[in-house]
Amino acid sequence: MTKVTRAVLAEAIFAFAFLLLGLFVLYDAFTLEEPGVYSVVSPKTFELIIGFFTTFVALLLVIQVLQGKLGVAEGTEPGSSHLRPDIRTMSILLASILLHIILLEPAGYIATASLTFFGVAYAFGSRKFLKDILIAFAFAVIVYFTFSRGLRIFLPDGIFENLLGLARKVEG
Amino acid sequence: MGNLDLLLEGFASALTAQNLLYGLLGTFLGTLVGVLPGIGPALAIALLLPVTLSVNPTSALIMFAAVFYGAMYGGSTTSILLNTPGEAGSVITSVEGHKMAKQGRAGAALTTAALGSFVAGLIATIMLAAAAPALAELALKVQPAGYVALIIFAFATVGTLLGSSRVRGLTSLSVGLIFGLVGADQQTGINRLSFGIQEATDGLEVIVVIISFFALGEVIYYASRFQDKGWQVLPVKGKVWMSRDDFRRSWKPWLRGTAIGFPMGIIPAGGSEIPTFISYSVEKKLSKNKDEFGNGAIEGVAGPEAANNANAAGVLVPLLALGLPTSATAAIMLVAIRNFNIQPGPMLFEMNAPLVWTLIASLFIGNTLLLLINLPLIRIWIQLLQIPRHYLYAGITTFGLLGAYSLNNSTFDLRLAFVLGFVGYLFRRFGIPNTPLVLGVILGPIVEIQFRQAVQLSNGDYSILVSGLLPKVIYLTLILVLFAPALLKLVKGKAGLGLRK
Repeated sequence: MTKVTRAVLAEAIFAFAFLLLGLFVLYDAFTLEEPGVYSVVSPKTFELIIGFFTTFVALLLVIQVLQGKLGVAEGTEPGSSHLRPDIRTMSILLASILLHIILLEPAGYIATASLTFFGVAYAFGSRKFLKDILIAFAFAVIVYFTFSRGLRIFLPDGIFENLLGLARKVEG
Repeated sequence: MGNLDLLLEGFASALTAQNLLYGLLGTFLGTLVGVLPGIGPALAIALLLPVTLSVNPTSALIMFAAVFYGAMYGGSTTSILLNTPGEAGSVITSVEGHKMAKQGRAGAALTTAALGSFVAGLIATIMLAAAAPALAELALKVQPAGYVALIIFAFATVGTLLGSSRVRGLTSLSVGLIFGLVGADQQTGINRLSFGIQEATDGLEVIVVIISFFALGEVIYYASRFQDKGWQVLPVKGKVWMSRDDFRRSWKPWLRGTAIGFPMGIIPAGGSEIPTFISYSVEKKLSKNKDEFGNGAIEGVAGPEAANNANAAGVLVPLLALGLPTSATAAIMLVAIRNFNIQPGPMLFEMNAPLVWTLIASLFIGNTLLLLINLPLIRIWIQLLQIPRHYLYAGITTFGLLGAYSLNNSTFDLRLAFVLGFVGYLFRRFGIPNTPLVLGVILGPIVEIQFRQAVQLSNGDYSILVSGLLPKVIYLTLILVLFAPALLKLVKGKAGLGLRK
């Protein structure tokens, strides 16, 4: 496939997914349960309006894309959006975010945030491991300390919090 | 009690040592985050929202006002030195300011931007203090149908006038409206689009949506384009201050920029692009050194920068008086203010008068603190631009996830952020703007309430939506705004043809 047709295909998939979203909203609206209480305007009305509006806009977008009128990402030259995305960098980044979601509550803030910070820096090409680990750890400790101690905003405690003696004492 | 007395009382409650400290912290953090490349004022405020969660309302408002001006100022610094405008309103600044920086006049560009922002902020806040209560009084008479019309007007203008493609603006708007639908209906408790997920019945957290689209989506986008070469920071050579000649050339553009920016912010039509563009072309027309424009004319930085700041303050007028945000930044301010159980709108000036006037006083204080702190510290902020890209993105990602988590201490919000972050990447990739989405999420539920109230008032007669003077005027204006450019083109095209014959 040429670069241009691949770009059209990618954006067409996006536009069709958007169309499906519009149709799904309509489906959700039509299958909405009846409210037990009386209201002049039911919750269905507004959802229907948005559903029809979305479907209409999505059709326009699909037509535009198929005509070859592609979107241009802000700050790029027209045409350069066709470049193949860097899957490797993206995957490491997304994996680092996923790790944060999975580990945050079991492992505590400092360990998780350090790992995410390190992972993202690695994704963006940094290879100074020792320096990165130190900076990631310092960043996590400072954020934890400011938020949890200074601003009294809850953050999950874990190994490092206990080791550093920072964790909230369980009262009782 | 007159408004002036109320304002003075606002100053009295704002000017305590503790509040000033929060103001300083806000200015510092706002500039710090705003100056980071790729972070515009909207995201800076969203990221810093969790910081204010545990602070009392007065101090939090002061901090916000400071963050607001700080982030705006930080944004112009990156525009000038890096040519990476964080928001639409700084695009012009980056055009002319970056050229100045290339000629080694970065110091003058940064100073005229800072002073221009200060002057514009000062005048615009005075006008805000005068206009907002007056508008609120008028707004008390607005019926629900009028509100529906106003919001639709804001939707249409923000959705279609921003960015390069109308269809893409509307795409963004409808996705935002759909996000706003998620959860239990306010009136009947019926769940819409919540897939039986317990957390979703409370609705999607607006701040999570914003962080996902503006922070995570942006970082994922940069990851996808990793092979692109990075940016280059231009050095600030010589003295930072402006020369007498620079000053002579700057002060009129500051005032003109303010005069253009503020009124255009009040109209619920959104977009700081247009006033900055107008200011730029006005300065170009009036300038004696026309050939300098496009090559680094100081007027081309001074005017648009003042217009941008005055516009941002103007946007606060409909926000406070009508509860109607028309920019992403204002939308986030609305969320922030609501966090303290304060509902912006016509009743605000009656119900929460002390707090509103404290906010307005805080805007004056924040604006002044900014000038006092930032002019001497310009060189330190510039150092921040040298942060390597990988640490910058690592910091934005980690901090964004922290913001998403700390709102409800829930990993559901984190999972949501992951998914929406990816959608945000797709938006970025396919040139779909973010601002209409933010307005859709926030104003969608509001327009539904007003819509229902209107139809309930008329006992189910939908024609109430277009009856009355205000709705009619608004819809007519809207039709004119949307179709006039096309008509003009048609007429001009024909006239042009006629001349050629």
